[in-house]
Amino acid sequence: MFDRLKAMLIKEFIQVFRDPRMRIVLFVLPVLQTVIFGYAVNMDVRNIPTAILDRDNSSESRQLAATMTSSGYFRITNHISSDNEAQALLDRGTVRVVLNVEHGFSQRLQRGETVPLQVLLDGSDSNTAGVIMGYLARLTTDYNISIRSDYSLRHLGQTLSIGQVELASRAWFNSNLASPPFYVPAVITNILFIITMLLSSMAIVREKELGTIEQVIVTPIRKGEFILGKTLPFVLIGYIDVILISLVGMLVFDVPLRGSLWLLFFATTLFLMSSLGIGLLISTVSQTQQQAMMSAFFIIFPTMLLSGFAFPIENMPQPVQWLTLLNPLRFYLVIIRGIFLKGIGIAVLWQQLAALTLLGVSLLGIAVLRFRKTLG
Amino acid sequence: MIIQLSSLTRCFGSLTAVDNLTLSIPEGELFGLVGSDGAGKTTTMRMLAGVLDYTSGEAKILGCNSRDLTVVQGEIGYMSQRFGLYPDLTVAENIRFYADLFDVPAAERIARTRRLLTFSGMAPFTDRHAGRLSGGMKQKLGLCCALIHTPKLLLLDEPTNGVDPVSRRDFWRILNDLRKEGVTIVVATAYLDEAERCDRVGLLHNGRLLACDTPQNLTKLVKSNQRAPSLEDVFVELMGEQELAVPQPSIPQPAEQQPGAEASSPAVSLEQISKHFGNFIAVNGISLTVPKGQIFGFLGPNGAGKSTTIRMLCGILSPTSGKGSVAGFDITAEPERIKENIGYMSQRFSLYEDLTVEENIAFYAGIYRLAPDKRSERTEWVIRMAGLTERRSSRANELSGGWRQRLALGCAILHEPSIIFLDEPTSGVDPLSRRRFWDLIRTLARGGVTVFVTTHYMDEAEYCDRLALIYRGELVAVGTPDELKKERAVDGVLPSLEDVFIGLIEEHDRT
Amino acid sequence: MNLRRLKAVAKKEFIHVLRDPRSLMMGIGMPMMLLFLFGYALTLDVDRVPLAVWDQSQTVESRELISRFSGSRYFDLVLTTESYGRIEEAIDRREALIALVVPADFARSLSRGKKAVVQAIVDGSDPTTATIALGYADATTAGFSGDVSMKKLRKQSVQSTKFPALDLRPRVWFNADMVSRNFIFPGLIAVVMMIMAAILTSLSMAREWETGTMEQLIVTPVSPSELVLGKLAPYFCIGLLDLLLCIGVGEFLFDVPLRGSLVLLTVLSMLFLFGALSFGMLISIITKNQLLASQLGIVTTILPAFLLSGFIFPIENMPFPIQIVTHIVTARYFVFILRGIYLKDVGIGMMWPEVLFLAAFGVIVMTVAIWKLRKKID
Repeated sequence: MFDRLKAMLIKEFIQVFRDPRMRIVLFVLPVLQTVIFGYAVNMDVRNIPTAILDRDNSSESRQLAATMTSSGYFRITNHISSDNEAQALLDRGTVRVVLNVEHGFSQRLQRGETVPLQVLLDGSDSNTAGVIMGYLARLTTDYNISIRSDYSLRHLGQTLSIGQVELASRAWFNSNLASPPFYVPAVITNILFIITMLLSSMAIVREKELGTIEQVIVTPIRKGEFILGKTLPFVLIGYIDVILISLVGMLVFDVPLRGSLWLLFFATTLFLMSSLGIGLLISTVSQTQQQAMMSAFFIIFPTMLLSGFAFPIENMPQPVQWLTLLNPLRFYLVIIRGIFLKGIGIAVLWQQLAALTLLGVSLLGIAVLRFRKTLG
Repeated sequence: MIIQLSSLTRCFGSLTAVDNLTLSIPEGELFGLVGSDGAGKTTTMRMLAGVLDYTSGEAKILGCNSRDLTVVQGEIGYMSQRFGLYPDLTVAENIRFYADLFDVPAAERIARTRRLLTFSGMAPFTDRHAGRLSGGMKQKLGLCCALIHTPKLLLLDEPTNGVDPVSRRDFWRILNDLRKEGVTIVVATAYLDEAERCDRVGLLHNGRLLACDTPQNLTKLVKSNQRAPSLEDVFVELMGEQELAVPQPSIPQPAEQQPGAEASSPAVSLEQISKHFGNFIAVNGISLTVPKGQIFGFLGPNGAGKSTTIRMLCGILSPTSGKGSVAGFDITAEPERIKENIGYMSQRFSLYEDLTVEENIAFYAGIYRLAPDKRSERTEWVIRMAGLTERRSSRANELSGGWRQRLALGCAILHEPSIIFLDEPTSGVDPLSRRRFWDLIRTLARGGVTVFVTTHYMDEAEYCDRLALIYRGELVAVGTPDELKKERAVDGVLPSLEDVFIGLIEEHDRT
Repeated sequence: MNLRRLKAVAKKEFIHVLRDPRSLMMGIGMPMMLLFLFGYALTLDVDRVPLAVWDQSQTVESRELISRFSGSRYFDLVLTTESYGRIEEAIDRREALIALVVPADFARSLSRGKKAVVQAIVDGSDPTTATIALGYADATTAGFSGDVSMKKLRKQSVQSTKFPALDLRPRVWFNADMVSRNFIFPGLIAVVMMIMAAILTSLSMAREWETGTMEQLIVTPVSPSELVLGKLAPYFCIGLLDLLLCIGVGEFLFDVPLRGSLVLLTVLSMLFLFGALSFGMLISIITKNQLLASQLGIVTTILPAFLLSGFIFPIENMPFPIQIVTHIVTARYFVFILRGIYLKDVGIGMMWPEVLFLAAFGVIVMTVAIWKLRKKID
């Protein structure tokens, strides 16, 4: 019963692993990718390079600079003396913020006046700029409160109680707002998608391009056996990569695995039906590996970008949001993040699991029906 | 001297492919290189062309060291065994591309292209994409591309493999013209009748040059007292000693009797079968019957529709119209049942080049579900039959063309099918192996196996029980070799099959 | 270098591309798709963050704080509730991303001049959005806090007029409206061109090896440089077309202002394109295998262009070793140049090191590619 399948599998494994470079591509690169993702993808804004144009040069102005540095958000990298310098630093992108302390800063504060603090901000990266504005607002308020209580103590001789509001924030699921727990599951989904979909379609088309398929299709091998034989190796490689990436995530980046491992594997299997279905469909419409690769990329990019891995789906326009309902990666991502970060189970995820099943069964079904054991 | 080789040696790992080859070829000579499969013909040609470096010795081509031929590259024409055509370029575009690379002046290019296209019979197909040509036509297009410029030295590696006799004759006419222009030509070939037309012939065996002389002098080497020994006899004589015993094939089991398939039903029967590719009619209303146990030869020029017909019979291409059955099963309704009962060897090598000989055999043994106890026996049989005992763990892409063909045949009959379809099984195979090949085929036929074979070798056609000639998708003649000859006999003298073949085609063209 | 041979190779390659609708799709359709995705569908702008509130205090002060949040363009009050359970549920279901809990003693603490602590619960699973949302919440609270303390001071002090204050006057340069599209778009040009270049070229040479056309090519007088440059030509043209399309779409559809010089932009893009195409070609020459080349292409060009170029994820935030790695990512320099020209109108004087790097990269990679393309079959 399994003779033919076994023969196919042995052949496929020999072909895939004969080239040592292929082994690297299949097992080392996903890990490397995880590490880069884990470290590189970080929106935490700290140590913002800041220049200060201090025309006052007083203890008050120095104290202001010290307050900023001690907050941990800003790092004074340049002390400059002219507007031209400020312009050049911002142009070059060396600093993101320039503090402009006017002459007479300390005297006017001592007189109890309201002193403008001019800040130049590089707004090119609007998100970072927004965060920096928030930090500045917070710091100014703190600074104001401290100078006011100083002032009242000095001039009125009394300690004033100044009411203030503090925000005590608590992040659920990912208490220190670290990036890896969010992105490592996404790397799993992306790599799994690329390997199973792209490689399996290319491996099938390779037989067409090199002509070897002609000898295979005159044998009594069944369509199902051929398809399974071509795809199972990549499924297996996919599972190994899921395990590898999860291990790296858990050991190197402290990504928690809160939910059930079995559910993870179950969802992965459901997802593989979709991704292999797409891969098979591509192979039915391609004659050369180049065509297969291009068709695959045409699907990979929108599928990945519209999966919510970095760009929240809620922010997309409504029609695009509807479109994402056809995206198996979207559901798989929600499931896998849910399992890793939130430890939620079938009770919460049943909708996503159902959607994934529906997509998988229909994609794989169409692909298998369309797959023909004939030439041309 | 155009080519001067001294002690040229090339090793691949532990294998010495070319061993101490010393040879010089003067200007204007037509030199033939013959030898058994894996003798080192292609390796030698590649070193001459400068695409492969030699391990030791020296090779001077047009006065240059063959390791770096940059200076004289424009003077060398080379046609590799697997000529690289661009499938998405048309015939004309492929030729134009090579003309530009060799800087052929426009006027010359146009004249030459016209001439080449006419000789090869490809003129009607100039706008067809190369990927849609038949195997033989691709070979011809490769030749046209290689001949588009006038080099000082022309290197041809088995240029006429799979080319029909008519075109081969025209091809040699062109080579003769080129020789008159003073072009030095080295041609590696498996056809000994071609070698006989060369000025000198070198006989390679296991990487060594066994003999090198004019064809006339070579035939004197034959010790047996034959009246007019041919080069083939020389070949057999010199190589004979090395010949391995041909393993006797086990007699295959008669095909299982299926309900509905009567014992007396023919192995293959076709009724008005046609295949269209778009506007192009590849096969046009062919009807045929092949009884069981017969060797049926399928002849025809390149592009006549032979491969298309075979593919329809094997169930991998569905016919546009008509009916047919193989082993009692309908070719449109039950292709999968057919596949269980047949063996097929395609024209293009279609085993896995990145798998070894053994791995390829093991793969097909698994696919055909050979019983575990039979598996090793059949594997050994195939390896011995193909003469690959020493190369069982070589990868298929390291094998020479002839060896690959033998391995492919082995994989096709591994499961002892009752009907075998062979699409040009012997193209590029050396004469000795071809003889063994046909011994094997006849043994199989005696055991009740039906063999459906296409070939361009007329001597092989003689071995067939019956022949069919197709041309431009139509059946031109069917009969035993003798019947066909008698039909065209002039004054009681029987013509050769080649003449019959050419005569029938010319006649068909006229009507 | 023979011009006719170069032309012959280029022409052949053009035919390959033109005959294969998918290559054209890839070369032109894909960049368009990415542009539209990033232009319309994908945004990193964090605004209208869904907010849930549990006001335990129910006082004028607490309501004022909440109105500061709901009035801001960054928050969208979707839920007022009176239980933790409901907040938990809302966050679990992603109905709300952030929840504020104003304590019962909020107003009392303020009137006593004590610190009032407002609790903010945020869904941390997307740390990027969460960080930004918290930043806004922090700033909003700080603003409220500053006003409250000022009021308090005024009430307490006898001299009602003067108190020192620092008045923050931020001025945003380059992208004054702080629209993320203006930031993403220039970087997107680099990513699009990198993807296009890598995918189209990485298979081209490997394919000739796999299908056997290479053996025939290398015995013709065509030199490695003619072969490589000829093969690049059509992709270079597609790349330029992509560039024009990108600029056009940015200008007319997305209103991304181009402050700098169009000529400089085009010239430097050509420089980058040359390097990117050469790199794809080098991959193809080294691997000789299409399956492998495709994977290597993804990992060495597309991923770095997305992740390590600063296109979305700021390089300054990366750990030092990764920052070092980014220095060999050409896309990084091109992203920098594009943003400089698009947003800041800087000239070549400001970014000559980057330009120099791109030029050197292109020349070196091309030289290596030509050198690696040995006209031998082993």
